[in-house]
Amino acid sequence: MDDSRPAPDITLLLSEWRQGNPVALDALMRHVYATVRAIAARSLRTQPAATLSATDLAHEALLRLLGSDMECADRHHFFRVAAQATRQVLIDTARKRLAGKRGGNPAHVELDEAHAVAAPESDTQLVRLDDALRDLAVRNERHAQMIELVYFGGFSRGEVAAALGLSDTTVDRDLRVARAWLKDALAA
Amino acid sequence: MSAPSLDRYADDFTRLAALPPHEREAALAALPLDEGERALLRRLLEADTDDALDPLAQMVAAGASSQLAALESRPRLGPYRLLRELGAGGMGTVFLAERVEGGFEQTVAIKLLRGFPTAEGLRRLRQERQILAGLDHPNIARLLDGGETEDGQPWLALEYVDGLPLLDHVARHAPRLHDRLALFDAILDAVAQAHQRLVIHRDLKPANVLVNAAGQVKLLDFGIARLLDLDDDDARATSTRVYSIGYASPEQRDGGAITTASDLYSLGRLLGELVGGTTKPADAELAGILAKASDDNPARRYASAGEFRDDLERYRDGRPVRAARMTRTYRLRKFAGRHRLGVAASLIAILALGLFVWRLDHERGRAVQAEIASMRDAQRARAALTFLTDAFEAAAPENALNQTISVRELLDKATASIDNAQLDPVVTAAIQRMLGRLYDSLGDHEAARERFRRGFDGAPRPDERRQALEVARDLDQYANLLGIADRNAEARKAIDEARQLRERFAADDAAEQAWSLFSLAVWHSNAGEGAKAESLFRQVLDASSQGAELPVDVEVKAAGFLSARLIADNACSEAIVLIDRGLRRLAGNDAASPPRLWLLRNRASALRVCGQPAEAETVLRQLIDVRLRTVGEGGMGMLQLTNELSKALKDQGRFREASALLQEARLPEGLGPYNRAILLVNLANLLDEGGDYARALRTVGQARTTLDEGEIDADNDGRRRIERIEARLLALNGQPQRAIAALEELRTRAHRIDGAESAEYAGTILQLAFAMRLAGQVEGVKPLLDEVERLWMSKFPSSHPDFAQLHRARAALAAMTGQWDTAERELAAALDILGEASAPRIELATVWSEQAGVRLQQGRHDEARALLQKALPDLREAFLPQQIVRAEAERVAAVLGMP
Repeated sequence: MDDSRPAPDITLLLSEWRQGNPVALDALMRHVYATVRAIAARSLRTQPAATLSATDLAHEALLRLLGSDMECADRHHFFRVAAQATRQVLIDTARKRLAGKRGGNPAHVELDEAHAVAAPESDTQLVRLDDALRDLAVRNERHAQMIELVYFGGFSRGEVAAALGLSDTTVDRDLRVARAWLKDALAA
Repeated sequence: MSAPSLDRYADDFTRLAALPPHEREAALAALPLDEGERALLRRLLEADTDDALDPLAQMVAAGASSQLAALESRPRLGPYRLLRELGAGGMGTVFLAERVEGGFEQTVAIKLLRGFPTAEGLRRLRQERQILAGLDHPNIARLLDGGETEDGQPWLALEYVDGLPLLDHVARHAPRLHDRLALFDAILDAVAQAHQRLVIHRDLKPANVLVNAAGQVKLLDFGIARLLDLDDDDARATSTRVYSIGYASPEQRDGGAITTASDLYSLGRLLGELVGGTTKPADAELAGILAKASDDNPARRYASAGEFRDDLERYRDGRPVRAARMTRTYRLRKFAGRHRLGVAASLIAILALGLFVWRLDHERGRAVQAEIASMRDAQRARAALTFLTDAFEAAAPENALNQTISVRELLDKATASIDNAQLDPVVTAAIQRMLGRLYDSLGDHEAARERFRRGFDGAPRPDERRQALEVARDLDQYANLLGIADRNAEARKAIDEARQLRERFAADDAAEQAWSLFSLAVWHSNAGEGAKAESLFRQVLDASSQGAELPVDVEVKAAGFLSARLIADNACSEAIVLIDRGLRRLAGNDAASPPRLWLLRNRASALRVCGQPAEAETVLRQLIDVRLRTVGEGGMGMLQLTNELSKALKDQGRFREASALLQEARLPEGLGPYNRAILLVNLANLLDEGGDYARALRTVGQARTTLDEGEIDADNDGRRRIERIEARLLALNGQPQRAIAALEELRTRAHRIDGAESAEYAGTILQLAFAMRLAGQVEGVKPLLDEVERLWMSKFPSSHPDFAQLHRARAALAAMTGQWDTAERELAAALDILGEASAPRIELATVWSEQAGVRLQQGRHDEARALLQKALPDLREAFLPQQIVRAEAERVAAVLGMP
């Protein structure tokens, strides 16, 4: 993928998506996917901390791709896309690694094995989280979205409220329920 | 089965969560829920802890971190991190990779080359990489970076192109031919640039040409193939390892040297696949382009990508493409080069190929293709060119390689085709005229006339200057050809038409006007109106002297014709001056060029007339030889040379050789009555000289009839000359009275038409004197001879050999009246002149025999015998027994008792 696209494309894609064009979403996702991964790689180099939140990723992606001239509505939309993309990146990679798809490069295998101890555990967790989120989405799509926005998109409560057109109180309450449900599901 | 939405419990949950833990159970129990639901709510409440570390967040973070760590620890090559494998090929493995350093992100394709080259190999590889990295073109996937792994395995970082291979792309999107060609055009542009930097791709194939989402075409692996061979000394220049069968050029497959031409071959094959199925099967031009591009012989392919590109552009624009022409004329050139008649023949061969039309017309000469291409309408031009190349190609088939192709056959093929071709009338007319010019240059006047006729009949009137002037020139040429066939009225029409065109489009152009003057002059000359012709030729040459830029051949022709007139008038010195002027203008020309030969022929004539027949004979024999070698036997030109040679022989007294020569001469077809008559008269002259008077009379009678059939005007120069000779022969055949009557009449006409000072008049009265003498009418002879003497004295010096003839006439007259001393004096004078002029022996012998006759009368028998002994062998050699000089000599010899 070519990540040399400038911001305006994103704006266009976003507006297309808002108008209901599914292809635009696809394109957006690809953009963000690439960006997120690139950011992740760069961030690791600059940030000494071993942990990197998905929020950081999403934020960076947003900054990079959108710049600062975006409209609010678009930013929110983008956040949602970014959150989705981030989730997708992480989950996809986890699933692949768990499934043993290494692309045939012997070097990969070696290195994966070197990190084999750590990887599967966190990967398994991610996959379980993803499964649980999907279940939640079936029960209550709104709740799942909120979780995604908060945990993968780094949205604040206020931003979630604005993005979904709800009151802060509702968001608080829903998040609390959703969190509880997920924890319960993951503990089982 | 639908799970209950959490919303149902949200309010309850929130309320219960706010209660202290020990109160929750009671509140739970109070809710109207079933056991399952109550259990869920209980669980949710338990899970609802305000953890310091949000476990969900932790999970995501842990997952992200570990993945990123894995990402970070992926193999690195320089600043790039390998992500996944894209594929493997003959050259090595390709990975998708990211650039991690430098502050910018970039997705690249990393090619890990197979093999572990030596240090030297690595060094060369680095050098080559530098060159390849310099290729910067939007349609070439850039080489960004390169290096070696720790183990010494070379790798390259290339611009990553996400797209479909070319043929897959066209299969999916099915673009029109026009768009496919546009894609190909971009490819050629890229290849052209690379070739300019001396980078050869070496492995151009559909898989290496991708089309990305934006529709941009990108060439992959440019020059990479070479890198693989750089570590191998032997394989450096050639490669047998990396090529794709079907796209690799023959030289590649054979292990030969690979050049930019090899790339062009592959491109040709690629184009073939690209357009396959989108063009009509009969699209000869595109087929021609494809054939040329992927010709097995590298030398025959396009010389460059740029040339290839230009030809495709031409094809797209509907202009004539080079491919078709070049492949065919290349073959034709091969044939014509083997023309059996040698070096000079290649000139004719080139004529036939239409590369330029030469017919005393080299100044106008321009490539037929250029001529056709200059047709305003590209469509027409292409049709004309296609027609011609098809016609010529049909005449020169592949399997005729070992045969020599006659130029004539090529023309005949084209001629046969044009009559049936369904072409635009403007195109057809132009081609017909061109064929006319070509036939004329071969000397086939009949065919040339026919082609011109068809080219003019019903052709649209030219409506712009350049075309009009070309048509005018063709009209003049046609008129000339008509004149040769004595179709003078038609010729005049053509000349007038040409003149009108020139007046309309080039009224102020002195050179163009000179053409018309010239044409008219030639017409008058052909029509036997020598005086008028001469005047017009002089006007043409004056125009040149006054600064008009006349084309070389107009000036040369004018000089040539004028000199011929002057020669006929015995003004040979002036003729030579003019001829030499013409020859000077032809200075740069090929020694065997037609106008040069023509002028030389005239020069030979002038030499003969000026009394140097032996020199003339030498020149003429050379000219005949050249002509035999270039054009072959037959034709008007050869006839003219033969005619002239016979005169030169005659002047040397070699009459029998001369008449034999003429009798064997091949008359060209379509020779008009006037020219045929001239030949017959010349023959009659020779027979006369040799003493075959009866036959001579019959021949000259034939000449006259021929003229009559041709409805030649009675006052025509040639006709009068024929009548003069006929009269003379009547006298020689025992009918002097009739001769006198005829000659008196001729004298009157000569006086009227040519004037009392003319050579014509002088010649006529000389014959009259002769006839009178034979008739025994001595009184009228002397004044006539005096008149002739006076006229000749005004024209040439007294040492001219013809004066000897006059002295002889006076001697004969004196002998008739018994004035032997006068006769002796006159004959001695004749001998002096002939001796001075180095006359041929036969002429001396004639005089000796006449001297012998006088000696006999004077009683000086021994001297008479001595003279006859000298003379008789020559006389017997040259003359028939009844020839008057010989007959008299034999009589004297008999009286003297000589054998």
